[in-house]
Amino acid sequence: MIIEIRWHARAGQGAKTGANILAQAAIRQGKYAQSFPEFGPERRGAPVQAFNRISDEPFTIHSGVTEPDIVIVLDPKLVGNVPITDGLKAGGWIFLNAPIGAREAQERFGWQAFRVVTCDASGLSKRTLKRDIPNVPILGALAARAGVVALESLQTESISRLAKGRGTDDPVVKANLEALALGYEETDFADVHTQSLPSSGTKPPLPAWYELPVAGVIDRGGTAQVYQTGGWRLKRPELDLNVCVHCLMCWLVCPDSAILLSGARIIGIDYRHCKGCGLCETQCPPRARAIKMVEEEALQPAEKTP
Amino acid sequence: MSEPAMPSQKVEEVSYQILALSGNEAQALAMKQINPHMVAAYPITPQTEIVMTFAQYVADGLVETEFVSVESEHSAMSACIGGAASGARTMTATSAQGLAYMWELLPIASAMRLPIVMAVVARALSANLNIHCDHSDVMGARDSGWIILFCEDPQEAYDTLIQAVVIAERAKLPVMVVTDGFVISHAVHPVRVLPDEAVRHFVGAPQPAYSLLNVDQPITVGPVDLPDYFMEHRRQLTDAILEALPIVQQVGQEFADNFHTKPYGLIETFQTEDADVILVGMGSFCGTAQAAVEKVRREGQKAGLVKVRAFRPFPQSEIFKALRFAKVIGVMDRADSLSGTGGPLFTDIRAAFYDRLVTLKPQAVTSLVPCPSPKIVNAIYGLGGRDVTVPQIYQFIMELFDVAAGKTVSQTWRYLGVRE
Repeated sequence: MIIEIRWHARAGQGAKTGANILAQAAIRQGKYAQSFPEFGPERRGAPVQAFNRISDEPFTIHSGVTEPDIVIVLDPKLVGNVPITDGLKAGGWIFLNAPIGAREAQERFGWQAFRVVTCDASGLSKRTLKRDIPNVPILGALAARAGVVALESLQTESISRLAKGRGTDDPVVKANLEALALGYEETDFADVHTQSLPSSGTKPPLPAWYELPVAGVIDRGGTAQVYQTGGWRLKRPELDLNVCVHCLMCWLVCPDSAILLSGARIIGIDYRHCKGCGLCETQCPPRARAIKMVEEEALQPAEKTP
Repeated sequence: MSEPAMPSQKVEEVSYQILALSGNEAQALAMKQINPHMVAAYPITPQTEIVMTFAQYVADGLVETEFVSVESEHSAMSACIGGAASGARTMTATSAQGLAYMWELLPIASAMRLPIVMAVVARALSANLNIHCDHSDVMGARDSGWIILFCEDPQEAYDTLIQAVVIAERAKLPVMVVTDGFVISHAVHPVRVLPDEAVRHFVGAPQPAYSLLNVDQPITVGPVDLPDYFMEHRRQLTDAILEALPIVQQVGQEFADNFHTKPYGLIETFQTEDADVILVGMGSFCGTAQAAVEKVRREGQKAGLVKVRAFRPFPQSEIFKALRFAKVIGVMDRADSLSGTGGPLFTDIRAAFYDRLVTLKPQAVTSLVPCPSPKIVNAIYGLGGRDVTVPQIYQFIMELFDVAAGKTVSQTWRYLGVRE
């Protein structure tokens, strides 16, 4: 039997590397495995996917994973924005990086038909690696709950990747192994409560070739408005209009035309399109410092959500 | 998708001139009469004369064209793409390595549906270094989505270049007009030349669907296409190529009607109706082959000839109809695809017969209409300017009659005129 896994993440969170480590660990263990990313807009923060296939027997499939057994979500803010449960069968697994309980996640997102595992992989990563790279702890959680690979294989794989030129006593190696072990220990699990799958909503079919404009010419301006890239943002610019001098430098450099003007005065930021690149902050004059980039709020447990 | 036919307005009192012109001179003159908005070109033998002559027209103020002197063929085609996307009527010319150097841009021009017209003076690709004619340069661009029209002589080169402007703009596809390097490009023939105003009336004013320079309607051309859209746009392109078949035919018809020329279509046939052996070829070869076929006919044997004018789109159905009753078909390729299975025209014609076999209804095969099954063989000739003569072609036709009489064919392709 082939176990198929789909990773949902943002570019930069390590989904591709996580999938790669998983495949390497599985192969190290004598299994047959694949890992492959989906390439789209190559920009940190953009929603991305990566995939794994793992089997005890050899297999030859090279197509994408459309009906996964396991879905791994590295950024909980993707839920609702990308089709997390598409093709996931009743009883399938969802591994969610979030500092909330599995039962709470199930209820909040309508995942009662799935086996849900939550792990605060970002928190564990910050604690051990001093950075928010949630792929390593989530692999520990996967090994603990779904048992696709053994923790030892993941450990050996991590050491062989990181110890080159450092030695196994290196702090980086140790921190990674610790993050892996913590992910293995600190998980929460909620079992299936219903067999009825959540409705994924019907997507309108894409147009047929003869319905499309000839040669794909985009025959008007301003169509980038339709593509709301605000969801790519890891940090958001906070604008303090009390100190803004309206020099318009931020407006000039913003690649997404997300600085809103009224006449020649700045009135706000269009968060539907701001990708959070931070150019506005760097261009804001030192005496004004009207724009500061701040971390987007992480998903909070229910009781803490305002 | 195709536009309504141009009103066929006959020029009754046209004062034609017969001039002694080489293929290059005839095409330069046609360009002058077309008076395109823009020409971007780089010299390369044997095409140089076309743009050199045309540049002189520009310098002398005989045309209104913006002549863009570029530093390479890659830039020439890039400039043409930009010009055409801006709505300008755009032309260029090249040969051999120049065409190969343009290769990266060719599929962009077609996929963006830009009606660029290019005179290609066919020349062998290096190595070894050779400036003489064969079709290997054109065959390298075979699958680029361009309409490819082959001309036999300077008259066809002149007439076809004028038609190409209308074909390109009606089909919204770029067109290559191919003449044989030196054999036609540098050979002087009598050419019946139209008055300037007749040509300008025939080509009319371009009606571009859009212009990049129209600031009131900003557009994006050639945007990124991920896997969810790319294939649909490719499918559109293959449809456009199919739609170009009747357009090539129609424009040829309008040209012939307007100017009382010989008929221009997708293919031209010579004594094929009752022929047992038919040769198929492209370019200057066909005139020489006609003389050989005439000699065979005079001796009482039924030979025929098909000249393929439109190589892309490939007129599969017309070619099948012209060839289906032959016993043996000799396909003449002035390029080797180096696949070990023969030349590119051979591959297409062989496939045309197999396609017909597959798509025939079963009852049609078994009842009154037998499935045609001629023997199709291939001769690769004339590489790097190697001459091909009437006696050689005559000899080859005789060998095909032997095959018709039952002689075994051990290999479907052979080199004609190689020392062995």
